[in-house]
Amino acid sequence: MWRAALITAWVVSFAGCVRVAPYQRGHLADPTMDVSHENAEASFRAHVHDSREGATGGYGSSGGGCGCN
Amino acid sequence: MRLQLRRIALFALLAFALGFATSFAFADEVSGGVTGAVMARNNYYLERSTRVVAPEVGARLDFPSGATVEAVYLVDAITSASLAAGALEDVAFTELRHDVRATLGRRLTIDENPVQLAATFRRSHEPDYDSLSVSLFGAAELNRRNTAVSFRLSFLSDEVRQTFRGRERTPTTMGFREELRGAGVALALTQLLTPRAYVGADYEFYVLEGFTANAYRRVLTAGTPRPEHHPETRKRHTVAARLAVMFPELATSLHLHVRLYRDDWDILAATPEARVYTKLGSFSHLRLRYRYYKQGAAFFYRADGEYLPTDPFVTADPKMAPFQSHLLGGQLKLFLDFLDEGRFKRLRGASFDVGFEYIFSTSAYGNGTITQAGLVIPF
Repeated sequence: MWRAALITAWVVSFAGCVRVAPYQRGHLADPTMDVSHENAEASFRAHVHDSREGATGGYGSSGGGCGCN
Repeated sequence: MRLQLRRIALFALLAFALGFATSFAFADEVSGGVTGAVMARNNYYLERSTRVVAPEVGARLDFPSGATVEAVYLVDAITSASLAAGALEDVAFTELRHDVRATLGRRLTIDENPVQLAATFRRSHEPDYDSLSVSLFGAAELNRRNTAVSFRLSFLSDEVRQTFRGRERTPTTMGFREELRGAGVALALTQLLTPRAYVGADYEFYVLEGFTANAYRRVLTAGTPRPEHHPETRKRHTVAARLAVMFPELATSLHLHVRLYRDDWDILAATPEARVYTKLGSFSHLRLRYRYYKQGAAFFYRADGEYLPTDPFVTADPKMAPFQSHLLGGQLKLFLDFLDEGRFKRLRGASFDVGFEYIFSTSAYGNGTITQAGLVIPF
């Protein structure tokens, strides 16, 4: 687990050298790239997964009842 | 430990409350109007023994000062015949779960870097379960907005009770009462790679303390039913990584996500996921989603279900067993930006989505479906 975390952080840290100028971000702002607008539907889906699977997290927190232990 | 968690949560809440009070005090000094959005959504989940209908409504206000307020109310109508949900006999019953979530946020700029702070309060109530959670969130965009870092601190305080239902339709609440506390921290990093791609990584640690079993499930030990009993602490680690790439020539975006999970109950899980978004004209897109999930067993799980009276932990929880699942789904999203004039022009900028997902699962819960439809109207 820790190895996976370190490798991920190491790969992402290399990307810190990259600079994308503001005028180049048209595609990144597209609704198909910015998934933050899916938070409402993702919250219910995460609740379903949390109450039916042993694992949790990685998509934002859920909580509540329904055996999400 | 419980007292410490409460003190930390209270202190953090006080600090955030002071910060928000300051931000609202200065709101009048800035010209400009309040914007925001209202949202309505219906969620539907169906599996062999459980059906959940969960409509929700919400609203968000963005103040000129950078302050934001968001509130969401959801009600779950859960119909189940499961013994694990309190059914005394083979009869389905319906119970309601009320879930209220409120978020106070503040956007500001520090050394030309956009910073976002937020505090979320969540209260969930059902006849046999009360949950109160608080989370504090902070995010900053760095490196000329090429890099985003964020953290989230979460605190949970739940109360578990027993409410039995039989054919007489009058629920019977027993004197059973247990508590569950939780605290967690999550860190996330997102980095732009090219004008068409970005990567991200998350790490989350969560610790639970208290009653982690089901209040109703029983386990047969030497022919005698015994209440399910799990360890009273659980430490959970989650690492996730994601990559998003756009292919403008195909009007398509690809999102890859992988999550690795491990806890001190020895459950290991992996969850790779892929989403493809394809534009259908100027005002809509289609999302196809595939998610695979596989987990191992908890250290106290026995595949044959034959526990001994001397076993310290016994479980009948399907989530403690090894299983795998495949999820396939699609969603159509429509942006109402074409409503320039006419009686519906107030809906310009709104979006409507409808989606369906099917879960093929080898767990004891069986297969399931998730259906969702939502409308967001900005103002």
